[in-house]
Amino acid sequence: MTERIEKLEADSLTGLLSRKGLQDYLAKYTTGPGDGLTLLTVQMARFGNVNSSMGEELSDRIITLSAKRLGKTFPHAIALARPHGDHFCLLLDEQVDISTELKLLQDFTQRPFAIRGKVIVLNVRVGVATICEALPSPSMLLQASEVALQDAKRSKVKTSFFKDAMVERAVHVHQLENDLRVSMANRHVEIHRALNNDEFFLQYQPIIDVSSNQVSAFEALLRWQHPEKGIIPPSKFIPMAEQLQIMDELGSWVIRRAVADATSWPLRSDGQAISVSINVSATQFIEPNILLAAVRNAIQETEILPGLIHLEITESGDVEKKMRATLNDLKKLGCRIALDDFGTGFSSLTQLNQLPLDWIKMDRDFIRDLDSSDISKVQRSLRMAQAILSLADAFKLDSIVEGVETKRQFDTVTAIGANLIQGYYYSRPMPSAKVAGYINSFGATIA
Amino acid sequence: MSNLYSLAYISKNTIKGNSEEVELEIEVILSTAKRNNPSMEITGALLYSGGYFCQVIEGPEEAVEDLFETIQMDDRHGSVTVLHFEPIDRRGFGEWAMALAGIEDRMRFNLEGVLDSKDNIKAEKTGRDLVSTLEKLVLKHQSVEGDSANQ
Repeated sequence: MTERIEKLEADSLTGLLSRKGLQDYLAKYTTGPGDGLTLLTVQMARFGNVNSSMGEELSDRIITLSAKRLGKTFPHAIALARPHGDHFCLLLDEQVDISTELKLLQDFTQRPFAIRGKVIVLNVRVGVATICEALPSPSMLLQASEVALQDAKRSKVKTSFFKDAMVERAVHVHQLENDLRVSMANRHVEIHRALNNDEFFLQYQPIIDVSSNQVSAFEALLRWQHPEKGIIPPSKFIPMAEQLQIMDELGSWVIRRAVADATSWPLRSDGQAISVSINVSATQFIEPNILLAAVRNAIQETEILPGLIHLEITESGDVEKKMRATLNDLKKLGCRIALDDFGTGFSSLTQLNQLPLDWIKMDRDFIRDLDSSDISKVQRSLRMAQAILSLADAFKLDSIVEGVETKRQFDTVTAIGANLIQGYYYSRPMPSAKVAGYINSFGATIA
Repeated sequence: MSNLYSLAYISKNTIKGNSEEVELEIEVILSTAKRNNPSMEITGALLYSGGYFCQVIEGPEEAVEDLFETIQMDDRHGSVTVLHFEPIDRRGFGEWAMALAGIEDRMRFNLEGVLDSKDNIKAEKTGRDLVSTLEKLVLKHQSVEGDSANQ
């Protein structure tokens, strides 16, 4: 016998079932052989932005209105729930045609919300799980539909149906996320106790000034040495850290570590100090005080010349205003700014004009094709690289060309005027301990 | 600051049936609006143009939000595009709970690019065009109706 919904735990904001309520309901839901039952987990995908930019009261209002709309649109649903945040669940029986239900859900995106003078359009993503051989029991549907939803988000599609193969991948990602949390929790303690034996560490890759044949800077590259899984690339753990909202803490650690390392480096053969270039994630501009404090503290603790600290940013529409204000504050401290991955993504001329930049870093994609055997590809990339260099020049910015791996690429980019070069052609990223030796021997080996 | 807001939107008619049935349904919409809107201090105008509803609603912020939410969930139309939602100093349709600006066979607004894009500037311009057109049409339409009623 199925439990009555009214007796189950409800979500206080919407009155729909809570996560626990839904789980209890599914646990007692009985299906006969061959009965169909489907659970849809729906996320209002742009809600994250809405939440941070509009305040809690307005986001609560959107949740409340979404719940009401779901109730009106799906009166035939067996149960409706709000398991957490911007996630909703719909339990449907075999009588309904799932493709029709999914169309109704996507119709939500055609019906904007008008709240406090703002018009908000939500982007709906859905994970679908249906009773089947792999999911014989109703109680398995919630997790399975959430796994499917994660898959939809990762694959950037509107709807994803649960498949067996997703479990393994989901478990893997979940485990990594968990490991990262544990590692961060441990690091909390470690940071205060000792900075030794960290799982996180930095490697450094030189940026060479070709005209003076000197090392101009080292870019600090964050790595995660997982105790069992080995080195996890930043492309995997940075998005996780951003999602887990621990990027501020991790980013602050990087700044402190990299600046401390930089002050230990020897001077170049011409007596100049070498700069350190540090990547800053767009999410670090959401609460910019943490970033500013980390930079300020690093300067105070080490007494480094602030001009030796270069911060590499990537553009992001979401935090553009805060980013601009924070970069101005960082410039006032004396730091210098490079715009990373220029030429792709959100790059725009407006940004070049509005952000207080010192350099742009040309995206490595333009360099890769310079080695192609397809001459038209080479010419196209060359034209792009030339255009970017002259664009930077027009804005009185220097360009750093990264991803230079071969002699041919090096010759080509220096022939069109590139002066600051980074890439395997000079050196792979190296452990901190090897930086001093590299600086001391640089003139001797490369000249 | 005034709590008076104006919201303009365009939506696609999903009423099934011939033009007579559509007109009848529009009459129902209008009479419901005339019955419910005064107590919510809502005024506005509606134009049916080439298969689209073009409507302006104005009133206290919360009343406009609530009414818009009801309209959103009304299955007589779909593909709703809000052209503007902004505070106003004075009402444009203060005398009408919901004035009918007209029923036309051909869409009079240039919707190209507006319905599919999130281009606010273009949408706002169309919103302003809609309001001023509706104001003119309402005056014309109501005076014609008034004349015929006096005859």
